[in-house]
Amino acid sequence: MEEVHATRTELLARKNQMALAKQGCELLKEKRDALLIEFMAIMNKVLEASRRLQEAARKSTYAMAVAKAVDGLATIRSAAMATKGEVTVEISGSYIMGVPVPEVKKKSVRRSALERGYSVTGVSSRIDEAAERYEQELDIILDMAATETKMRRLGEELQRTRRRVNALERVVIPALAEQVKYIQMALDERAREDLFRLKKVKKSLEAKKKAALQEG
Amino acid sequence: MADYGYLNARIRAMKSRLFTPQFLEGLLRAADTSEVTAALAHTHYRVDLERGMVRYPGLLGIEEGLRYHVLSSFRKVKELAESEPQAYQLLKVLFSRWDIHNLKTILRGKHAAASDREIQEQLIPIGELDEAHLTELVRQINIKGCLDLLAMWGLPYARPLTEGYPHYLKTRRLTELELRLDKFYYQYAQEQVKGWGMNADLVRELLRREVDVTNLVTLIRLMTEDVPREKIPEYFLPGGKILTVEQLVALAELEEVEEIVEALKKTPYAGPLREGLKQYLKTGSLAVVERRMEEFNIQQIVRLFRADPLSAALMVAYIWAKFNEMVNLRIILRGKAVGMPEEAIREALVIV
Repeated sequence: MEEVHATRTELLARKNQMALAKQGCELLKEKRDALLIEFMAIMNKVLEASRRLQEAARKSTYAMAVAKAVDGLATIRSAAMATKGEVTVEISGSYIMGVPVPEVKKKSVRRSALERGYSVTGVSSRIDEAAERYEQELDIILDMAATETKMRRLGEELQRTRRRVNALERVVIPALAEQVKYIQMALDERAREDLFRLKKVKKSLEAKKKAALQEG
Repeated sequence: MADYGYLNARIRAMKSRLFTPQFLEGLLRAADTSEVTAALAHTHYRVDLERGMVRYPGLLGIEEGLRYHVLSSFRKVKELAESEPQAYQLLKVLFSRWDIHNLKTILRGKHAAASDREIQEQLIPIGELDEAHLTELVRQINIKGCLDLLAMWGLPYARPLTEGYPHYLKTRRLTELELRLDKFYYQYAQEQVKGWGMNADLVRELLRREVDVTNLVTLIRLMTEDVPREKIPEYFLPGGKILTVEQLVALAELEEVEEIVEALKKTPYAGPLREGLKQYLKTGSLAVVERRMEEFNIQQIVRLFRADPLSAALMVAYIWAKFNEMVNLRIILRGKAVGMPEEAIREALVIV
């Protein structure tokens, strides 16, 4: 236990600290619960996006396998060189329960077969289909990236808040209660000692007074 | 009069080594790719497969081996045809489709600033442009350099590409250049074999049917895209066997794909198109429509095995049958590699 001066001022200070810690703990518990609600909502979104991503990945792998099988790798790689493109994302920030989270605005990467840069007469619909599937997958990945980052940030904050609540509930408040109890006990002990001493003094004074009367 | 006697005798010998449907059925039943590879290692593919597998590991190596094998088979046919000028000319016309693939690949590579090696690896040097020509083209620093070189060599492909180049500069998209090249190929190839008699007619008919098939697939693909009406004719290749560009544009005006099938009912394309669309409704994939049309085209060409044994028919049929064999093997290998159900693999195969 840290060094505690058993004084009435100290007792008041510790009691104030304890009241503050309890209030802080309540507030943090409220924050934790609110974060948990947000976290669960985002987690459902992430799980849904993850399920969609798995499905999209399965379909794109399948479409690519069909294209590779029928058209051959050389033809696919050749077509891929014609379709160079770019992914534009705009990243800004916002706050959820005071936690900074990224907001990603993106332009869909999906293109029509006529916009991919090669001629439809020379590239099979199998390659087109594989390209389309991968564009869909990329769209989901970009959506998921923002939501997953939000979830991670909220998760970190949730963990931090939970640690603080635990620290207050299990360490700080019990320690302060212990100190208050100790000071209270010390002060009570001192009061009892004072009373005893006063009684002793009184008794001694009375004895002296009695002796003086008898002598007189 | 061209004499195809010796050439066809040799081709018949090569044809006898094509895999039978029973052999392919056996491969289909294989548990995985290694079982397929093991079965292929006991065939005449062995040497080329080994070459491919030395270059790349796994499935890539096997596919490379298949590619080597087909290329060496085609080169063999070319060598055999050298003694017969007409057969050689016909082959040159047919193989020039790989010139188009190679030219597009080089242009795409330059457009994407890909490395020379990356471009070179995707080339299939079997056409008029041999490895030396292609290497020189790949070495050019940009598309303009390639076009200038083609013009300097006096190659006919320079014209459509030079005409489409200003559009490329404006849009930075290769679509126009590629479309011009495709249109040019079919027109040029058909002109090349005009008036050479029965054998050339056979090749011309093949090219014209291919134009029809490509146009019909394009038509179905355009129906799923939002294309301005006035732009539609640009996407069709001229020179079809049955369907003119005007007829195709009229078909594109129809609301439903079923109406197209109905309008084509008197043509041989209605059957495969109907079959493809039936599968499209089940799978939602346009690729199945294209595959059924390809199947129809391949079957029509392979049927030439039964045509005049002293004509170019056998040589033409062999080229398509051999290429189809490689595609079938690739489908089985890839299908097994991604765990495709046996039925789905079988559907993608074209058994002739």
